[in-house]
Amino acid sequence: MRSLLLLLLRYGHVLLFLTLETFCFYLIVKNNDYQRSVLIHSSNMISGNLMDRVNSWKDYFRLQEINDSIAMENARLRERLLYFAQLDKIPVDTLLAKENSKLEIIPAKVINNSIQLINNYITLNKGKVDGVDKRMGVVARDGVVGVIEHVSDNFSTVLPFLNSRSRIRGMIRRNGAIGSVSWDGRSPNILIMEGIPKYLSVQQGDTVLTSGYSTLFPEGYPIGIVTEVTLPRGSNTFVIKLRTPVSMAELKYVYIISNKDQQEQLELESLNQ
Amino acid sequence: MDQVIILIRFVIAVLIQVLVCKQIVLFTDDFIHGTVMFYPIFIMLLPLRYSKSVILLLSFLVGISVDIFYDSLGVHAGASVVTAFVRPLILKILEPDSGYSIKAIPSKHYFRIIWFMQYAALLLGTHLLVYFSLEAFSFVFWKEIILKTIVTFGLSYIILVIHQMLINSR
Repeated sequence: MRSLLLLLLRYGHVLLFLTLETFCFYLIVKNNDYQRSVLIHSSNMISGNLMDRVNSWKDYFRLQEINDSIAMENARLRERLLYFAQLDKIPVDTLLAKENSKLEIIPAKVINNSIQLINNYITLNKGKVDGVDKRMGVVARDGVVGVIEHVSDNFSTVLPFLNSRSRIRGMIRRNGAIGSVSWDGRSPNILIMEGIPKYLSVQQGDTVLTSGYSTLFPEGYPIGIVTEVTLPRGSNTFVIKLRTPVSMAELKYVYIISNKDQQEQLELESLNQ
Repeated sequence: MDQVIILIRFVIAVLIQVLVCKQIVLFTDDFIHGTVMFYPIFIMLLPLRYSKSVILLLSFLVGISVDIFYDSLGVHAGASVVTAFVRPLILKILEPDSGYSIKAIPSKHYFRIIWFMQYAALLLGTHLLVYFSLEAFSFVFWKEIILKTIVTFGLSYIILVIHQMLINSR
């Protein structure tokens, strides 16, 4: 008994080290397994509120830049408005068209963001109270950003394309070929698209858009531009490198897309399985 | 009094890490090259008289606090615990002829700056290597792990040493 106590006294810290390290490994593995505890997460109140405050200070230094980007977007929207005003008449009844519009857009602000990790996440300042729900698409002015993963009352976290778990279905505009877009954890500007069969032609400069097959994003939203096409030896599908139009490091304002028909489409599709 | 200083140091280290250092990222088109790690200074500056277990627990706490803000539960904590475990070994290697004073903390105030630079280099190197290995979670990426460690080490080390020259930690 005495020698056991002595042993513990002498090597207790090794035991403690092994326990803590095992616990850390457990946390990491559990983390990678989608089962993220929502409690200790940046969508929880304390760290969420802190980040919100820090961001409101940081914003002062970037007002000029943000103003410019908003002005540019205004101009672009105005341009589209003019285009529609030029059309003689709208071919469908406007009352009906309004009822049919199934997409709702919730603007949100990025309050926490990282690009240097292998599994990056973004925190937004909109939550359940504002109508945000899990599995909603998130886009920025220039292109797709990611999908809502967790929601709390006032905050939500996004699984952006800069995450090894992110999979977005993309379509090559020129020939309509569908592939899966993911990230290899290297550069925050470069994505990898796979699954395009080699008999289709893909060239540098082709645009990749959202397919519209999933309920997350509207059809035709930009994902990236092809910069490099390679065909691994013995493979039947291309490995394509895309440059994203969205600069994740400078991401400030995003739009959450709420699709009213999402539930219905998912339920219908689940019948097939 | 001592505990208060440790607590303040803890809070400042975490805040500087998540509010300032998290924003610093060096990258090129091919590869993300690195960032800055400041909070290991907290583990480095824990007093010498603390028992190994207390140092392990405090390091775990600082790691997990940083993790909460990085959304990477367990990665920083795992690296911090290894760093805390290695700390006594490194202290042993660097032990001066006269031995350690029981009141000292491993800082410039009690030792020479050259001593601190060696000490910080060994601890920071261990910390970063373990951190990037845990982050990748597979040694398949050993090239990336080493590259990230080297670049992050360079930048963080300069900041840690400058910090130690400016601020006299007792």
